[in-house]
Amino acid sequence: MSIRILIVDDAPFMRRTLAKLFEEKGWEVVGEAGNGKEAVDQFGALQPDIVTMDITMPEMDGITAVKEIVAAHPAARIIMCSAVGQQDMIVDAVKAGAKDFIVKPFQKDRVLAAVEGALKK
Amino acid sequence: MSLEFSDEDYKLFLEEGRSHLQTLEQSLLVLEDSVDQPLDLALINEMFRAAHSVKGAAGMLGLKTIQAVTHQLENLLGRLREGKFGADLELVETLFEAVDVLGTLLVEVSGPDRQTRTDTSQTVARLKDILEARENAGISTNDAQTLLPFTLNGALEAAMDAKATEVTRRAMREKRYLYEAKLDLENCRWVEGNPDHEVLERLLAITELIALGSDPALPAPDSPGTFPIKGYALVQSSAEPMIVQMLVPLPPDDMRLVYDPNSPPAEAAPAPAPVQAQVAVPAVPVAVQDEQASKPVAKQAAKPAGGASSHAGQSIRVDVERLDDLMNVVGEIVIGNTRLAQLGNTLENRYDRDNTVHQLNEALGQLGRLVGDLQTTVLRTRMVPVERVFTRFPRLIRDLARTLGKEARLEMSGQETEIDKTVSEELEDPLVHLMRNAIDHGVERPEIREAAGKPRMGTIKLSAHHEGNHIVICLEDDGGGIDPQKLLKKARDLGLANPEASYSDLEVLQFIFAPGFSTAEKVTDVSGRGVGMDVVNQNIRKLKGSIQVVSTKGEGTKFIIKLPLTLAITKALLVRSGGETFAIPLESVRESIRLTPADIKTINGRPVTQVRDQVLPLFELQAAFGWGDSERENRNLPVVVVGGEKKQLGLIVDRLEGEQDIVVKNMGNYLGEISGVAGATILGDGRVALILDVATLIDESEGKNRHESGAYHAV
Repeated sequence: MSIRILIVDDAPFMRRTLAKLFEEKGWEVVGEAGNGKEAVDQFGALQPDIVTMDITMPEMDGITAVKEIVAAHPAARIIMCSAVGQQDMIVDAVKAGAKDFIVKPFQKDRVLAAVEGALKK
Repeated sequence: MSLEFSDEDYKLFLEEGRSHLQTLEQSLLVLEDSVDQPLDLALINEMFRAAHSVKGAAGMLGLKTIQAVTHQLENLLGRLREGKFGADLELVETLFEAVDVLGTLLVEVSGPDRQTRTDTSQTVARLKDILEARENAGISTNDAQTLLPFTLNGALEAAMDAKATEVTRRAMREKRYLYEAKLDLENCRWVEGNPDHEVLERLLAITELIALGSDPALPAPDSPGTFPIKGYALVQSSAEPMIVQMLVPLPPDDMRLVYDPNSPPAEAAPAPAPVQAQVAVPAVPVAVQDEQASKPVAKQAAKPAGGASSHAGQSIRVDVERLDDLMNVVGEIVIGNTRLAQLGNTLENRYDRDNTVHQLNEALGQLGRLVGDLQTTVLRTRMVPVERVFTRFPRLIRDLARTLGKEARLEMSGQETEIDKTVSEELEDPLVHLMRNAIDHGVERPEIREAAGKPRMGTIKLSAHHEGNHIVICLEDDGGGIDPQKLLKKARDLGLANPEASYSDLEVLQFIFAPGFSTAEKVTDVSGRGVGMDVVNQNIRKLKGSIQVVSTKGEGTKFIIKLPLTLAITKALLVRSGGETFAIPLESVRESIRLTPADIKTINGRPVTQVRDQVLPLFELQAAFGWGDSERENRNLPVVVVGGEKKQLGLIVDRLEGEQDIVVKNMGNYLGEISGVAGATILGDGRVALILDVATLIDESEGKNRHESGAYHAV
């Protein structure tokens, strides 16, 4: 089954890395957003199965974006992308409705497992 | 690592990295200026984001040194952001050093083997030390000795040293949950200085480790192979038990809540927070909004990160090489189009009643307009804001002023003015040179400025704006200015100025561009080696630009640089001489005249003629470049007068061929640099024409008698 994914990260490098990883697996990257605001805008139009959401971004951070997306689309499946030192933010994001998180630097298997796991939640 | 990365990936990483590096530098400059003011949260946030982004990408690429430095940077900035302590000069200096190291590392990664070489352990240690020093500034020692209000597993209790106890106390003060995690993990390994295992990764993604008691103890960091972790960990988190259970794959019983901030054990109320008076580095109140945004530098600092990332949907990054390729192809199309138009004209002349030929020419005309549009569009694609060049100057001015014991600030305007990428790249060195001079020779020492009734801090203004097809860049300081009398004396001593001739102040000033000229009384590390302005002048001339200097003694000096917007395509006058076609850039052509052999006189063995009461030196192009015989049709000599306002030269040619757009191409490595030739171009009919470098021709023709010449003037 092809999974439709929206990648949200302000770093093009990160977006590219995740996109390659998903596309190799045969999943479809339906959109990329460079900040939370773009993510909120794109979510409604694209209705992706999964969103990978960076936390620190300009204009609108990932946690605010999760809140806005979940408020409008309660069934949204969002996976946070976190790095060392963002413990509290992940907790906040999960409280706001994110399903799971993945940890940078990404390990391929763990990223794919998180996406598949989130689809079952 | 199971991911593979291509050259393109590295390129993208480096581009992003450099942009973040700039953000960090610029923000640090602002931070340094405002250490005594409330912390600008937006600024710290931006720096944090920059460090964070680089760290993330470096981690993916396995660039451990970059990851380590940015990780510590991020830690320090994170604590700053949380208002745990304020900024101070020592801290800013440490950040500057780290950012410099980061710059070096990025340069190293751009090398062919993609590896870093610089040892970063000291940088990392310095960042760690200063973080610890600032954090512990507020800790009272009594605090650590108080017993904790809960019991831990024996192995973990043994691992609780003074620091761990203090961290625990702080976590309780900050109303966080404390958990004792029972770990029974196989096949852990060291990654980047941390033990790695999926369970551990997830645990530590949402909690912070305070202490770990494990038996056997962990092997030394980064020892190879896998190892088990069997024992207990004390962790703190903002997450309540339900969330921890949801996110961490440990059995509920193995994650014991030892401290719940909502119902703390009555007998052990947390110790009161230490009073502010004990804090060596007081936590500075945090300004909620970036009130400094009105400052030009702050505004500028805010731009790169926001601008680069907020248009993910509207813009794409393109390699400059591709743009150059595109430009080249368009250049060839322009040439091909010119050739087609010429052929069309020939056909029209030959078959002037043929309808098909007529239609062909109409189609060619339309194609020509489209090609013109294409050319304009591509040229515009190559334009970048001059900000790219200006952006490193605030830092440069800061460092220079520090080194030389001066006080100076930079005011910039017109950063959005656009310029061809190639021109912008070549512009940096001359501007750096001028900046150095401005601080070194221009701006006076603070005490001297005060004595002269000026503010202690000197101001350097850098501005850019468009004027027709040119960009004008002005660099102005409010320093001591240039003394024309002193300068003239020096020029005469050096034999650059005629001892008898009289010069206007403006003419005298132009001597600073003469080779070997320097008025600095002593040579400093920064400037004053007597090659400076000459090189600046040459660089600007290579860009087909001009530089002028204006100065008032006691008030300051201003340099005005005028550059063409693009170098790639230019209008030229084509001439024939000695069987060759030459292109003379139209901006240096003043007029063309016809002379009879009788009009040519000789002064000091040089051919000259008189044009409107002015003596015009002449130069036989064929003598310099022509290889074949003259093609002159009659005794009349066509002469193209080239040069600027002051210096002119008459080029004697065989025939004028008319005006044309030409695409400037380098001569390539075969021919190297030929004096008097700026490049080559391919004409509509496929022939190659050399493009004359008029400024050099004038210099060479006058070089023999420099003493008689007036002020040196850059064309």
